[in-house]
Amino acid sequence: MACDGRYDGAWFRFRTKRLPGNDRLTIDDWLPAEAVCLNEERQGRRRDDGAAVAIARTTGDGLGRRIAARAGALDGAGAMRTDIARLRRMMRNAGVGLVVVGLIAGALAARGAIAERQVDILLAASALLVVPTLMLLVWAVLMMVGTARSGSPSLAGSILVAGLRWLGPKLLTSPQAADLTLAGGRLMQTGFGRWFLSTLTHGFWLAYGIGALATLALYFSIVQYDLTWGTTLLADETVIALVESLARAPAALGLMPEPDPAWIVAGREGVLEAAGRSAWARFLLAMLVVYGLLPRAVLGIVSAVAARFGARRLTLDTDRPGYLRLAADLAPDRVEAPMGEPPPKDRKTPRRPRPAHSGLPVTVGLELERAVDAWPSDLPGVESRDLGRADDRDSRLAVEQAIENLKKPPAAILAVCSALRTPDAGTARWLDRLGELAGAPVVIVLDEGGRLEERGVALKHRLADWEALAERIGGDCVMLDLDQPDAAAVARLHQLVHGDGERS
Amino acid sequence: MNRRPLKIAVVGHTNTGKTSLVRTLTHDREFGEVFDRGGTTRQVTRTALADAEGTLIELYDSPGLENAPELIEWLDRQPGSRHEGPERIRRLFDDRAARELFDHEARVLELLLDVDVALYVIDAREPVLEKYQDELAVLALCARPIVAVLNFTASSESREAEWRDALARVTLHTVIAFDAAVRDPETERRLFEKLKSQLDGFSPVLDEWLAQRWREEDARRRAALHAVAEMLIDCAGLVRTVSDESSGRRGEVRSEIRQAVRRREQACVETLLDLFRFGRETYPDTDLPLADGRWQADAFDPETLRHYGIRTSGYLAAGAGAGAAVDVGTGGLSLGAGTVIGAVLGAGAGLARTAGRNLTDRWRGLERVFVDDATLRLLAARQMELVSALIRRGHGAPGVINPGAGNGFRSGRLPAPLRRARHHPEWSALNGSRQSPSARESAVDALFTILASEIDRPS
Repeated sequence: MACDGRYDGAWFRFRTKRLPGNDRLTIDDWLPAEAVCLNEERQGRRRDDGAAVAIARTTGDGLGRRIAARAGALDGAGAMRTDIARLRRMMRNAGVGLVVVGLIAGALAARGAIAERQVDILLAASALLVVPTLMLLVWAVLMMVGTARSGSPSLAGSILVAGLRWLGPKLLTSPQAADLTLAGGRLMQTGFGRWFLSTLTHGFWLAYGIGALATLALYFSIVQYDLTWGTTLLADETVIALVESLARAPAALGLMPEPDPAWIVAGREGVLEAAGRSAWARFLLAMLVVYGLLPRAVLGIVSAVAARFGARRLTLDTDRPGYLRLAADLAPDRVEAPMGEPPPKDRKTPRRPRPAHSGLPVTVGLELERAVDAWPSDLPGVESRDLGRADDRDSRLAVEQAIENLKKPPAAILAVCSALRTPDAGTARWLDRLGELAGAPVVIVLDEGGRLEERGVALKHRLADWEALAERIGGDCVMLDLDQPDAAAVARLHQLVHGDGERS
Repeated sequence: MNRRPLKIAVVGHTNTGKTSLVRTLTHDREFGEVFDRGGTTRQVTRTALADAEGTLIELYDSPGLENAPELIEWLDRQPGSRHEGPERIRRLFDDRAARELFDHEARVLELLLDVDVALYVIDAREPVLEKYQDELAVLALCARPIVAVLNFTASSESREAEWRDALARVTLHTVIAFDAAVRDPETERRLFEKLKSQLDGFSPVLDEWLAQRWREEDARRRAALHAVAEMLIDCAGLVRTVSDESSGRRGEVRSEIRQAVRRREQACVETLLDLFRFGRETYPDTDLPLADGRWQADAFDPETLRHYGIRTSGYLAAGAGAGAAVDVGTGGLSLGAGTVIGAVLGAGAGLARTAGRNLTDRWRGLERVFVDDATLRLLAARQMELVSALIRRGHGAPGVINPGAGNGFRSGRLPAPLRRARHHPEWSALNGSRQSPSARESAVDALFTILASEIDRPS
């Protein structure tokens, strides 16, 4: 792995890109995802995506595929699919249109080049070849420089994208039409888009070449032209050498015989004799095939193959905020079902009645925050016998011992516990044992509630948990902060200990 | 490479924040149930920390230990050598009655015998009670490395020193303060470094996990700043044209702009919250400068500007400066199109207006209304405040936020990408534009770079 896992603080310098193999998308998946993202970036996230998210989570693929699955399962995805089919048709029609335009343009160009009966060969050849060759160079430069952003490496491409933007919203009907059009524009900026536009470009110029070739062939077949060449500035030898070098490739391909200097000289303007006429016509046609059609055909096929390949390997830029925000929700469930047997039911001790001939209630403090010397000898409103604190094994044993040594069973065991402690099974078990030893009910006096509140914890829940514990050991619980005793709590404690009236 | 996942058990007394820790480590805020109550988790649950190639770490959440004091007495009563820890522990599993009595403890110990390391979570606000020491003694019988995690150390009641001392006395020296509720990347890294020090054999796995974490964190931060940059570009380029005469229509246009800005800002807030895994549902909003996932103060309220220390009076001077700039986008031909040349305050709070884009518009008496500089500064300042809070604070507790983030915008000229965006309404997604020109992307990238340097700058 490229990075060493160190985080050096300057996080924005740290960038690595990963692309899991299972994150490739087709156009039909890519476009809705992109359209939904564009919309959500502007409008905020869709609120009705619960079901779609649930569906997407279950696909075990990479994030990109899960995002696409969500987009595909959202409400309105059907309409989007219909629109995508329309977009495809539009593209196909545009492609056919471009080819037709190319054929016509080629035919017109060729017709223009041989408008007169006497045709200057070099002039006609350049008229038909210079523009396409220049455009080919432009295409090559743009592909090399990388037009990842502008996404239209040709005139044809630009026209197509502009046409799409203009026509898209008019022809598409889904509510997401505008976003889809925008997404379509973005699609053209992907690797696929660039090869797709290249295919169109080459297709157009191929059609142009074919149109020109057909026209020339037609006219050369039925009309007699005088094909000549001439020069004002250059020496004849230079032109002859040029023609020879131009003809080498077509000749090698067998499209015309080896160029013969005698034949070339015969075409010199003014020397004219019609013997080389058909050879010159074949030369012109061969030039068109080799320098016009052939490169376009080869590049067209290459682009088409690349586009076809790319169409199934689209990826989403999952680092984009609009996508990355979904990562958390779409993360596959990594939590497994709880392990082991289900937990047993809580054991419950039946309520302990107050013993008939009881002595004073006893008080014991458990794991309190307050210091041992700040331990009050008496609880407010209740006379009791203090058995001290029970925070560890030894003091617990001492308390047990003290209870066993009592002559009369105590009226109750007042266990002063801290609201700061979370009630646990250990505490419950020990208090239960005390109750059993003494044969008396346990009343939990929950102290230090004020300090719990200072901590910012809801006292309500903590009290409920202690009450549940008290109930499990057949006792009661009363909240009484010894720092600020509350009259109602004191009264309730008194009532619990002395049993005045009925217990609530 | 050997990729046997590292098994980590998270253990501790009931209600010390074990599940919170698991949540924080998995970055999954939906994991388990978290209440400030005991016994919320009653069974062992496994969750996987995975990268693209599969599971790296298995994290086990466990029920809280509740009755170690009695268990230790039970274990002491068992026959056999007291130095054969794991063997004694296994007796517990065979004894049905004891197993039921010490249900939580048995589950935790069984788990512990099966994992490579345990994180013992401590509520550092608690005094070092004997029952906690009993727990450590019982866990030690399993003969597994233990890393003590002190939770809630940020609390004023924290007894961190007391705990460290107590842990040292039972020769537990691998201790880390880790507020489980705070998603702090630096502490998380330290925790895994501690684990590495205990588990030599797993250092490749842990390294890989750390690398994965930083990649994620980095991507998250980048995306957050990108979202802010996009929002700012959208709002800077937002413009509506209105005729000079129709004053009724003008009011409509103003509220339309304000509405669009508010919605766009809210969309950005939601993106940021999603990115940092707060999701859409409830989250503790006390630690974020938001309420219910929204900014409470309206962006177009002059009070809000004052709160952020943004002065509107400085605006005219800045406006003149901006107005002097030639409109590069149109070769200077647009006659101050969309620039603040001659921009007038008084289009309503937070808005400015200027003459139309070109001569025809001016001649037709059209006027352009847009968001003023002060409001853009405000939007930048508070989104950056939020990003900063999200980066530094986590799923719960307080931490340090950087109130200075985004400060650079509050005075002087607006950053260049924003000034450029003023000239290019077609960049703004809020103008109903059907294209996303590459120039916009460059502006967003440039603004992103500026924001990135702002957020790391100490205030």
